[in-house]
Parts: sequence; structure tokens; C-alpha cells
Amino acid sequence: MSLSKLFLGKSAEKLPDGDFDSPPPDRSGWQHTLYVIQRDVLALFSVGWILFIIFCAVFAPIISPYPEQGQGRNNADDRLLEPSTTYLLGTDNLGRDMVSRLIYGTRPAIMASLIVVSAAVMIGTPLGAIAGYYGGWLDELIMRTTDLFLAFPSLLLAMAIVSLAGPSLINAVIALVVSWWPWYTRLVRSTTRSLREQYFVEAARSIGVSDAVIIRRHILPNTITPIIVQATIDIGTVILATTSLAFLGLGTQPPNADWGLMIEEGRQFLRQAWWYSMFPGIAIFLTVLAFNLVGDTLRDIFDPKQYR
Amino acid sequence: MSALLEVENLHIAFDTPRGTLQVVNDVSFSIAAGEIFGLVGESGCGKSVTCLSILRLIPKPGAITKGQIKFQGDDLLKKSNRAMRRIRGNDIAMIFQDPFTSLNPVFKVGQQLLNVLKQHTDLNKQAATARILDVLDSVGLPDIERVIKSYPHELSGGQQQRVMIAMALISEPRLIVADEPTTALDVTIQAQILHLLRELCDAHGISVLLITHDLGVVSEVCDRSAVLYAGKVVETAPTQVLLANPQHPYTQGLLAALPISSKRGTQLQAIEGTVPANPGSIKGCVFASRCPQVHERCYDAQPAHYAVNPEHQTACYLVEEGVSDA
Amino acid sequence: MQKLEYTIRRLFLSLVVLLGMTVVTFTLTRIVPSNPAALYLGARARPEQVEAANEELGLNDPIPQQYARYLGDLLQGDLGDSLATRRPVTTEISSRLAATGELLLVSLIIAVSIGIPLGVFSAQLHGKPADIFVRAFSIIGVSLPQFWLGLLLQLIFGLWLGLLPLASRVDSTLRFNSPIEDITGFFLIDSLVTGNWVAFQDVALHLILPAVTLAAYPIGLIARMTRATMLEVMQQNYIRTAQAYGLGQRLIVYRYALKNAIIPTLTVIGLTFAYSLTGAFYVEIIFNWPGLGLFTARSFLNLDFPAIMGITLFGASGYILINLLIDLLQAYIDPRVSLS
Repeated sequence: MSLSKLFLGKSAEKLPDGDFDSPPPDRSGWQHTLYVIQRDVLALFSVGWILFIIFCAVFAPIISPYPEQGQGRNNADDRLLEPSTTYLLGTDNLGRDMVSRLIYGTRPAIMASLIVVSAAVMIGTPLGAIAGYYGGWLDELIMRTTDLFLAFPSLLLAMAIVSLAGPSLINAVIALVVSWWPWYTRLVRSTTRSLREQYFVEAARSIGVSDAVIIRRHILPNTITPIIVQATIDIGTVILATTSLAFLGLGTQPPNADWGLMIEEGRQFLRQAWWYSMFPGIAIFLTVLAFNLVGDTLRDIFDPKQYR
Repeated sequence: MSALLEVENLHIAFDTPRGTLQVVNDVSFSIAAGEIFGLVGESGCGKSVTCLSILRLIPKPGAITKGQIKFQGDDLLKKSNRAMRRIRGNDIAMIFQDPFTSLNPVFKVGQQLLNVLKQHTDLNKQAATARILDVLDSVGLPDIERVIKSYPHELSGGQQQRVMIAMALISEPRLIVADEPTTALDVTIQAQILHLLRELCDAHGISVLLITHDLGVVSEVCDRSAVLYAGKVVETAPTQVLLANPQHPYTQGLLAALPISSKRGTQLQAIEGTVPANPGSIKGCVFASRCPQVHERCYDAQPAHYAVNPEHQTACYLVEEGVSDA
Repeated sequence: MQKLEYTIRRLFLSLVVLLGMTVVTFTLTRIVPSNPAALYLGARARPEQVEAANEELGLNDPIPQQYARYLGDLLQGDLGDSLATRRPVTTEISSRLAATGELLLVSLIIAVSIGIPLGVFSAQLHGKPADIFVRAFSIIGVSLPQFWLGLLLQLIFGLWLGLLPLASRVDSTLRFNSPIEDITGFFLIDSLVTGNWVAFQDVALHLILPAVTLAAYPIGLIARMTRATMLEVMQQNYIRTAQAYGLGQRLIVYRYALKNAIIPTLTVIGLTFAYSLTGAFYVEIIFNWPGLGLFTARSFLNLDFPAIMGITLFGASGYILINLLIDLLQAYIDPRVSLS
């Protein structure tokens, strides 16, 4: 506890001097979000990094110094070169420029995670809303099914599916969707359940509003914020998952560029070419970190009880 | 009798994302030793925040911006945190509105009371337990041995509130601040709790600051009362005088709105309009927009407190001009 | 009495889920593209041999009958034989359990003893300038790719600094110099109990990098969860009451608040343990740790289906068991849990 005294900011009851008769500045929800992000250094960097990654993914052929190597063309003469002015981050085992490979590696990461999270949300949300709203045997059925899926460690499930269907990025994505949707079902279900007990729902029902409309107009909009927070963080988590699968050879296949795959390829050269495994890992780390930080900040914003 | 508690020119503001909100705007009142003082007002008028401010427990982003709170002559707002901790639960004790959420759910009741005693006294375990049993008995709890070993959720609402009162009494305070202690309880239990408070205070000479929105509660046990509206005190008087001869249009409106049986068959009289959202920005009287007896002057500047008689004050120009309606 | 009922009911539910899982794994074994009999006999088997094996293995029987036999075998503890080693899968699993178990346990201890205090500390810094650093630290834990972290640590501490060993559970020379008696299979315990100090040191050194790698994500998760629940708990009315009665900050935070906050955190700990099961997979590969994870990796590579299915079932049931234990633990700690 005494350590924290080192970090003490101003004491809790500072007396602000100000003009208390002037009307308060009026900020809309959107503006408030931007206001908070702009004040938080970490969140700012995170959003910037994410935009950068997306930019790389979209414009990979244009901004890569050696685009064909990024896509997989060999360059056997320049194997395992240290970082230099020609190859800023060095080259890999097949002489390909690391910078280009990293840039092309943003593509499977971003694409896969966006697909997986959107699919999981689209499948899980209606299921969860139905389960939470209607309860009864429908709820039991849906929840036992999600329990079953959640009972398997997601990696195991993914590995089993991929080893049956054959290793590829697409199969890894499918496997991850299968593993991920139950989380959103659960999330939406618990939010729906607590919302259902609220008086405004009871009020709506008492004047004869149909169930479907209640779900659509009253319940779902209130589940959006936890979904958004969870989805943002999940994009990062899915990137971890896809690169992990690629590391095991169960995801992106060579010669395509994938950060996880590159780490695996570089493993045997750890002693003599540390950059091969290290830089892709840093890329994964920074990207996942960025999504986690943004998700955290969103969570802080959306929770009215917590003031920064 | 010298005043036990004197609140002078209290200002409390909240710093929200959308700007600064003035929640308490120049509130003053005083409580004498041994009296029960009622603070009446509707939701959002700032009464809860006022009583939290006495123990300096206002949560961020709120802060006391101006004023003095003198307890036995000492300004509490100038005290260090450590000094305040010695006062809290010891000289001044607080009772909260919802006893269920105000007690720690994972600790037994006896343990929670023991912790308070250990904090403020030197009693050994035996003496402490004896005292706990004593206090629990004095608040009218049956089956004390079982209560000590119970968790809060195992007790009824009335029992929980009695436990809270016991916790307040246990260190023999001079002042109890009760924030709507009966609002969450059944009507039958309400009366019991209020009378319990009255008895205990007469027996031990403790003062009570009783916060409520219910005029019935006030008339039942409060010696003197103040009416709060939008962060300002609009009228202060001995309770019976306040109820019989209200001078401020807001107080009059509150009383007229009470659905009493003698008015059965007539239309309910409500106060038109709503409480202003940002009272701090209003130049004139806070109640002007809803007052049935408003005139030009009321919009220009805030009225000061004018005395109807030495014991009865009102913040209304009507009194100053001597043209009140009552 | 209520608690007993609850326990029994949860046990029953878990068994039902377990049963459901056997259906899933059974279905997977029958969907497998290649004929299990052909796999078992090898690539050069003749069609008649395959047909004979089919009969023998009961692969021509109706599906429900096959499932019944499958279930029967399971209940007797028979998970089939590994195609790669020809030994029973149960033997393969049990011989490697201790290695993985020790790794998991040590990393769990590390994760909890760092994660919870970090979370509490971080909650108290909320709003103050240093909060940024502590938040970043715990978020870093959950953002690191585990397989990469292992490599990074190997690089720094093994190759560059030469401080810690790169792989395996023990030094290979240990078997000759001061071999460890096999009592529990947990090397740390075995060497400690027999006073084998040399071995103990060696085992501990070998455990550091893999356990730390494995603990990184749980530390982050536990710290963040503890922080979040602590912040929420500190907003509660009963904390306000404690403050209103002048109780000391230490008492409020470490007893009044923490005891409430720890309840949801327990769920997370259970989750992280389950997550560590899959994390151990990567860590064992990178550190060449002779445990269940490494065996699983090899099984997948060799398409050793009996082993794969056996491990899947085993892993999933372990997961269910852990969740059950966590649920029961919660019920016993939290007096409010409705046992209906």
C-alpha cells in the first residue's frame, strides 16, 4: 500500500475553482467517446496501430518493399541476412524480405479475425436473445448445446476439425467460428435475461407489444455495448488463435505469409537468425495489445459507473 | 443549547463528462443536541449528498466546493483523513437507506459489528461481545444469539435495519445521520423503526439528522425540519409549525399534494412543471418556474432567508414583502 | 444438506455432458476418412485382411451397437491402442500425466500469487497516473502469443544470457549422477522428499522458463478480472458503510472487498487452468517437455486417431471436472449462492 502513495495523484477531494453558474458543455455520446480516446495516450496509440495494420493489409502490394517476396517468391541468394539497409528487418530462410512478409501477414490476421468474430456474433446473438428471452425448454436446449461446445477446449476442437478436413486457413476459420459462437450466445443470453426482468419490458408487454418487436427494439439495442466490447477484444484473441494454429501447421499454408507460420519456420534458426521468429511475434503482440486496449477503453466508456 | 452540528453555506458540485453539475447550492442548517432534525425533499434535491458530505464520503466525481460543517465547534472540512476516520462511526454514525446492500454479504453480522467496535474501542473480545449483545437487544431484535451468527441475507428487511441502527449506536455517537432509513421497509415496520429511533435518542441524548421525502415520517418524529428543493433550503421551522403554517410556496404545494382522506373526491393537486436540470445556472429563485405566486423579482436574483419569526425561516420574497398567502 | 444436494446435482449434470462428449468423439471416429482397420494394419494390408479386421473390430455392426461397445470400453478404461506405439492409449496418457501436471500446477501457483495481488494493487491505483503502467502490464500478459513468448525467453535467458536451460525436464546427466526416485512422478516433490538437493535444483531450473511462459496469460487474465471485480465491489454500498464507520483501508480492501471480489475471480482461475491445458501444448512443443502436450502434437502429426480421440475425451473430461470443482468451491465460499 505504501508503494501506491508514490503514485498518488491529487487527493480525492480537490476543490475545483470554477464558474459554477455557466451552463455545462454539451457532448453527444460519439463526441464523448472521441474525447476520452483522445485523452488516453494508450488508447490513441492503439487506434493508430490498428489503422496502420488495416492500411497494410489493404495496400500490401503497394507499400511492401518487395511485394513478390511478400507473397512467397524465393530469393535464395539472400538467405537469413541480418537487418540492414536493403532488408530493414532481415530476410528469412528463403531469402524473402521480412518487412514484406510481415506486411502480407496482416492479411490473414485481419481477414480471419473479422470473419470469425462477425460470424460468431451473427450466430450467437439471435440464439442468445431467444434463449434469454423465452427461457424454458428452448433456453435449456440452447444452453446445453453451448455447454457441450464450450466443454471442449477450443484449440482441441479446432485441431480436431482441421485434422479431419485438412489444414488450411479457411478450415482454421471454420473451426474457430464453431468454437467461438457459444461465447456470444452466453453473453447475449445473460444480458437478455437481466433486461427481461426490467420494468420497461414488462410495461411494453402489458400494452401488447409483440415479442419479436420487444426483442428487436428494446432488448437487442441494450446488448450492443457489451457485444461491441467483447468483439473488439475478441478480434485480438482470434488473431492469437489463427496464428497459433498456423504455428502448428494447421492454418495458413506456405508459401503464404502468416505471422504464426513465420515464427514456426524461424524456430530452427533461432540461434543464428533471431529476427526470423522474433519480429512476427512482436507484430502479433502489438496488434493483439492494441485491440485489447481499445476494448478496455470502450468498456470504461460504456460503463457509466466508472469515471476516469 | 449550543448547536451540535452547524452546516454553513455548503456547496457541492459534480464534475460529469457533460459538464459541472451544482447539486447542493448554499445549504445551511443547524442541529442542537438531543433533537431529531428532518431534511425533507423529493428525489434529486440533494439531501443524500448533503448527509454524505457531513462524513465527507461524497464519491468522485463530486466534491464539496465551499462552506463549513462544524461539529461541536470543529470544522470537519478542515480535518485530515485520519481524523475523520476517528469520527466516522464513533462520534457521528450513519444509517443508510437500503440495509440489505449496506451490509457486507459474505461476513456474519456479529463479525461486522465486532469490526466496528475493534476499530474505535479497546474492548477485549469478551467485553466487545457483551456490548454487541446489549446493543442488539436494545434495538429490539429477538433471538440475538442467532442474529450474531447470521448473514445479512438471512434476516428480514426490518431486522437488517435494526442491525444497522445497532451498528450506529455501538460506539455511542453524538449524532446519527439517517438517510431515508425507512423508505425500503414495509409501512408497519416503518413506524416501529421510527419510534425506536425516537426512544433511543431520548434515552441517550443523541441527535438525529433524518433525511426523507415523506412528510408523514417528518411529522412523526422530527422536532425541527428543513425543506430542500433543487439543492437549496427553502424553509426551516419546528416541524409542527412547518406543517401547520408553511410559508414557502413549495412547502405549501407539497402539503397540498398529499392525498388525505378528507379531500376524497376532489382532484389531486400536483405542483406543475419539473425540477430544473441544472439549478446552478439559474439566476433567480430556483422554484420560480413552477411557483403559483411568482412575480418579476423572483427571476432576477435569488432570495435570501427571511425570518417569519426567530425559529421559522423561508427563502421567499413573499415573506420579505409580508404578502404571503398563508 | 442443501450443499450436498447441490453437489450431487452438479455431478449428475457433469456426467450427462460427459456422455454427450462421448457421442461427439465417437461420431468423429466414424467420420474419419480412412478406415480405422486399414490404418491399424498398415499401408500394405490386403483387402481380405482389411475385411477380416473389419469383422473383428466390429466395424460392420450397426452404429448403435458400435457406440454401445465404445461406451462399454470407455467404462472399463479402455481407450483403444495408439497406432504409433501399439500401447494402450490410457498407458500413454497416464505415463505422461505427471510431467504436464507438474508444469500446470507450478504455473498456476505462479499465476495466482502474482495475478491477484497485481489486480488488487491495480484497482487501488484507478484514476491515478501510475494506473496506466499497471493496466498495460496486465494487458500485456493476455496479449502475448504464448509460443512466441517461450521462444523469446529461450533466446534471452538460454542463448544470450546462458542462465537457464533451454529444454527438457532435467539435465540428461542427472540420470547417472543423482537419479530421482519415482514416487509421485512430480519431480519437485520426489527430489525434495528424498533429500536429493542436486536434482531438486536442476528440476526447478528447468521448470522456470516453461512455467513462466505458461503463466503469462493467466497472470494477465487473473489480474484484470481481480481488478475489474475489485473496482465494482469498491462501488458497493457495504464498502461505503465500512468507510462510514471509519474502518481501516487495509481491512476494507483486503478483507471486506477482496472476499467478495474473489468469488467471480475463482471462475476465471478455473477458466485459466483450462486454458493452460491448451497452452501447455505449445509450451511442451517449444521446450521439448515430455508431457501430454508433446504426445498430442505427435499424435496429430501421425494421424494416430485412437490417441487423438482418447486425448480429446480425456482433456475434455478433465476440463469438465475442473469446472465442476470450481462451481462447488464457489458454492461453499459464497453464502448467497442459491443452491436451487
